[in-house]
Amino acid sequence: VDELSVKLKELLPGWTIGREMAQAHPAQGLQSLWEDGAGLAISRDGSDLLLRFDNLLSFAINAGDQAIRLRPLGPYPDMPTIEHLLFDQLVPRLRSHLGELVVHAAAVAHQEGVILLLGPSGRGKSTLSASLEHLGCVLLGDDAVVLHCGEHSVAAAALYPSLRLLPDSIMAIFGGEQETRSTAQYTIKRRIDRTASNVAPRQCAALFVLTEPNRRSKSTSVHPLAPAQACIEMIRESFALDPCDTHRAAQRLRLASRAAELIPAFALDYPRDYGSLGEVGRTVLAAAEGIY
Amino acid sequence: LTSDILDGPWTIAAEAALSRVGEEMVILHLGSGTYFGLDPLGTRIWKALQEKGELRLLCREIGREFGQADDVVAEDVRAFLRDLSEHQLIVPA
Repeated sequence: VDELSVKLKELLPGWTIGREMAQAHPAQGLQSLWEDGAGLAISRDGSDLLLRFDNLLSFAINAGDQAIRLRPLGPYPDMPTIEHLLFDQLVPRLRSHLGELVVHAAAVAHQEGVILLLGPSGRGKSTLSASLEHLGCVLLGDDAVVLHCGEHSVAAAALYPSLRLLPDSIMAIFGGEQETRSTAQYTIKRRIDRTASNVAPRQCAALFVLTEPNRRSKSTSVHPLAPAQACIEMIRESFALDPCDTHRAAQRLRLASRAAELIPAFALDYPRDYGSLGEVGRTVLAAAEGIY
Repeated sequence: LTSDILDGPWTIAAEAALSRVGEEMVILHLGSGTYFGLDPLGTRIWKALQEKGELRLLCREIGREFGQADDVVAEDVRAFLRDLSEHQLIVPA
């Protein structure tokens, strides 16, 4: 918990994390709110919101006390798994709950702006963002990006400098000569640590929505997206702590609408083979440079 | 006799939140989380629904502007209303 507290303070100033005993909280009395069908269940337990990740771990969140408590569902999962669930799953949702627009995107810095790669897990955000490093970009993060709308522009900041890749992506991009560590006990993805110097918000230059992998895609194509469509994509890929909270859903809609008006957006369709990554990256950069 | 969806009357659902994005509009159903993008024409129809406007009159206006027969426009507007209704973004008044 001490280790987790240090990083948590950076990402959620003022918040604390602790542990509680499972038997102190019998399951009855929980009010089920929402399930994503992939293992995440959200319930209410008195003044706490409870996020349960499969049979691994629950987090009890008390926004009033700014407190997160680990609630084990059996033996604790290993430390990388707890870190992953806390920092990749819970914290982005909490930041959203506290009023920020947090989207499921990778972010790379290029020349005068940040390029966002938006899409759900499995679309290739991490692989493409890592490959863009080879084209001179600075990788900021591969999963959760906080967007702050100004009057004329949007500032983007990766929640923290993460990079998680499947072994074949690591082999293809880094040639296997890359130090990695476990991401979580239930995935073969490996985490590649990045320095924490890239978290300051930077002006956002372009947003690319990664389309669903399509075996028929033989070449890379980029199509401009209307702001309304970009807004819908951003909301669809935004984090939410309680998806049933209508007040916050309306707030996300307002923030995404504003962001969509300010960031040029494109749909990016490309073949998912490692040999094409260079060409895909160059196409992305060319599209982004056309905007400057 | 069956009623025509064009005649409604319809009202915007209380759970429909909308936001203007450039020239278009995005509507979010706060209960289901369904999103709906409206192009400028859809936005115009939505505005007519908000203002309890006469949809048949609007169909004629749109038909004149775009050089389309009234009944062709009316059929498109009916399909649009059905879509909104199925997503519970509009409800019978």
